[in-house]
Parts: sequence; structure tokens; C-alpha cells
Amino acid sequence: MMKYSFFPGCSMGSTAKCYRLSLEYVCRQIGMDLYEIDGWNCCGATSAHVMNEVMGLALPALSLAKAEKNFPHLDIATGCAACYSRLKTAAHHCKNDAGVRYQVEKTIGMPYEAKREVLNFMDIFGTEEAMTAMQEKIRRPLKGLKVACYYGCLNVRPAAITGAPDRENPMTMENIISLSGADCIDWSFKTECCGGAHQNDATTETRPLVDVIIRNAVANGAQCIVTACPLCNMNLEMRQKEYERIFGTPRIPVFAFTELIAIAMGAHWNEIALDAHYTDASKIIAEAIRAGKEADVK
Amino acid sequence: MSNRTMASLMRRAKVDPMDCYQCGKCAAGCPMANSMDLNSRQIMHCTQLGEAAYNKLISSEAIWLCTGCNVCHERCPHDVDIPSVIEQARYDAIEKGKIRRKSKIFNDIFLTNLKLTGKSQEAFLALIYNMVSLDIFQDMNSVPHMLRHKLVSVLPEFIKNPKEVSNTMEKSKEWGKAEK
Ligand code: SF4
Ligand code: SF4
Repeated sequence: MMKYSFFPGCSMGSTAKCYRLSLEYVCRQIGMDLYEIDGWNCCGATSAHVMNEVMGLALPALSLAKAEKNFPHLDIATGCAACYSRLKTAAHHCKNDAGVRYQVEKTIGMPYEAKREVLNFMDIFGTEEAMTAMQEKIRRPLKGLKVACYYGCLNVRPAAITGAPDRENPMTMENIISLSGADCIDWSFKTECCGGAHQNDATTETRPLVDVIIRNAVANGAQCIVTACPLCNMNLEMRQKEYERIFGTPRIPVFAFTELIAIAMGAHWNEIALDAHYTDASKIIAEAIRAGKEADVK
Repeated sequence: MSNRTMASLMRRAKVDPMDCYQCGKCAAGCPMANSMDLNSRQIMHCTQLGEAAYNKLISSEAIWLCTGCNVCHERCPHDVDIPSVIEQARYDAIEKGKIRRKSKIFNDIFLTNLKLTGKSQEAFLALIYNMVSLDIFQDMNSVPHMLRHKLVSVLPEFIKNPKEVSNTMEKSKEWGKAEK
């Protein structure tokens, strides 16, 4: 049964347009249902938990309590690493600490039992059921495309919250991307930090973090990077002109992982807004599609 | 203010300072260590020195530069939860008015906007942040692209019921007061 409560998060309606469109496309293809939480609110990342401990738990719990009320039998899906971390942290503490749960329920004015799991889309698309369903829908393999899968921090750490089996070299995204026919490279920076929201308030300190991530991907042969988070995606992609100027960083397209799957399923360029990327990706994608067709003919 | 001490900070963080044997593995993997006035190992050293180093810790810039990436905790051979110490140190710094200037500007704008709309709107926040912090042109060359591809809207967007969010935020602050 592929049904989930869905917490979109703020970026999905704006800067993460490509991610959202491709996510919805893939879900339609494989018959996965996402029920948007009615009246969801911003999880507060990253300012709320930095400034006030209770607020950092109560804001995500408010949305989770609504999900629990409307869809008590569904786990909660979210596509942003920061939302995932905040929602999952709130659920974890409410589940395991009666004192925290009391405080949170008083604060949000709603009961919240934390009965269901919070999941990211790697957890969700990585299940056997979803993998099989996606495999069946691949019509246009992306042959020879070299991809660096970037996880960042919060989808994998801290282990006590995420339960991720491997925090240094996770492979779920590679397994999913392999369905598209693309080749995932081995590289060293897949779980390094992109600086998160500090790209706003500590720019000189955090800009170099992205420079080394991109360089390592390119040095290992990647033609593009894929992410599972709108903020990671924006940090790696949006300022590439600036990086090129300051550090001489090479330019490279950065996709949400669902985009490559959607393309391999046959999504039209406009359907998933591929031209909204900051660095042109049309060449490498067209080449991979052509190579895929040729291999098919042979 | 008696509960704002190193001992109480460590109690709230649920970390025993003596678990750290100063190996430095945490700082070796920390993405921000190069920019920090106290790296993660030195932060743990402060906690071991106790009250004498309390002010040094909570006045440091490092606690505001930490991205919360959790690499330090993940790799520590003794499972020392350094991010938890840093988090509690920040709460104490806020309490004592020692918050780093740019962090204060960014977080204040973020939370004010959240309180009004229930949502975070990246471009809007960036613009206001730049004006207040006087980094006027930071990231502004991305704005035309964002507008052209409708990646951001010119007007702020609201969630269904922003009032619920502002109530939750107000009530959250009351717990802090009750604890003191
Ligand atoms: S890795 Fe752990 S034991 Fe080593 S210095 Fe850091 S906190 Fe201390
Ligand atoms: S959580 Fe903070 S101190 Fe720890 S490694 Fe990350 S940036 Fe460094």
C-alpha cells in the first residue's frame, strides 16, 4: 500500500519547483498517493530550534498532530532534509519522553501521540514495492550518464534520529538512481555539509564548503549531482556563477533525484520544468537519452 | 539566573564532559572547524574546565557557526553529543544577550516572517536580511532567474491558519520563562 501523509514544506511551493513536479510525476506513474496535510505549517528550520528549544519541537509537532488526526493510519512523507530532521526529531522526543510530549501538546493545543513514522523519499522510493513499480515504468534509460548522489547531513544524521544504517557511505539514492539506467560514481563528499541556512548569515565561512563538494564530484567523473533536499539543491546550484568567479569552481547541473527517474520514465521537458535549472542540463540529458535508444536498438 | 552555569548547561545537554578524551577526531571532520574560534574539541575542553570557561564558551562565535551537521557526534569514538552542548550553549548566549550579530538578524527576520505567515519565503527573507545586515547584493543576481521561472513569488504567501502558528510560537516562549 503506497499511501502517505505528505508534508511538502515551504520550498516545494517555490524554489523546489522541479523537485515537486518530478516527484508528483513519479508518484502518478507508480500509483503512489500523497495526501497533503491539511493546514500544514513551516517546521521552523533552522531558526526556531536555534532560538527556542520548545518552539523547535512544537512547530513541527503541530503539522504532525494534524496528520495524525486526519490520516491516523498513514506514515508521514517529506522531501526536505531539514523538514525531515525537525519532524522526525519532534516525533522521536514525543514518543520517548512523556515530559516533552506533555509540553508539546500543551503548546500546540492538540493531542499528539507520535504513533506514525516520519520518512524521507529515499526511505519511501527505496522500498522493494516502490523499486519494482518504478522499474516497470522506465521507458527511456539514461545510458552512460555519470551521477554523483549527494545526501548531505540531515537525511542521514544523527543516527539516533534517522536510524540510517550507514552514515558514511549510504547507498539508497544510488540504488534508486540506478533504475534510470545512469551510472552512479563513487566519491568522497556525499554526506558532507552544504552549509544549510548558514549560506545566508555566514557566507564567507560556508561558501568554500560547496566549492569542495562540487570539485570532488567533478574530479570523480560526475556530469551532474542529484540531491534529496531543496535546500541542498539550491545551495549546490544557485550560486555556481559566483563560485566560478571566486574559486574557479566547475559548473555542473544539480537535480532532485526524482527528476532523473521522471525523465527516464518519459516525462516531457516542460512537464517537470527542466529549464528552470540554473546550469543548463539539456545537453547531457539529450546525450544520455540518445545513448539509451542506441543501446536499445542493438 | 543561578541555573545558567556550565554544570546546568551540561545537565540540559545530557553530556558528561569527562567522556571526551580530547582526541580531536570530531574537529578533524567538522566542516566549520577552520572558521571557528573554538573548534568542537576545544568546546569540549571548555566544558571540562567548568565554570571558569563558561563565559568563553557562550561568548564564542563558533556556537553560531556550527551548522548542526552532526559529523562530530557521528565520528566521536566516545559518542559525545557535541551538537547538544552547542545547542544549549546557544540558548544561554541568547539569554545573556551574546548572540552573534548576523545570526540574530537572520533568525529574527525568519521568525517574524514565520509568525506572520506561517511559512518561510526564501527570496523575501534574503532581501530583508540583505537590507538589515547591509550585505545588499548578496545572492541578488539569482533573483531574475527565480522570477522568470516562477521559483519565487513577489508577494508573501500564507498558510491556512497563521494564527495557530503565532500562538504556538508565543506559548513556546512561555515555557522558557517558567523554567527560569
Ligand atoms: S571526538 Fe569525542 S572524544 Fe575526541 S575530542 Fe571530540 S568529543 Fe572528545
Ligand atoms: S555539528 Fe557543528 S561542531 Fe559538529 S561537525 Fe557539524 S558544524 Fe562542526
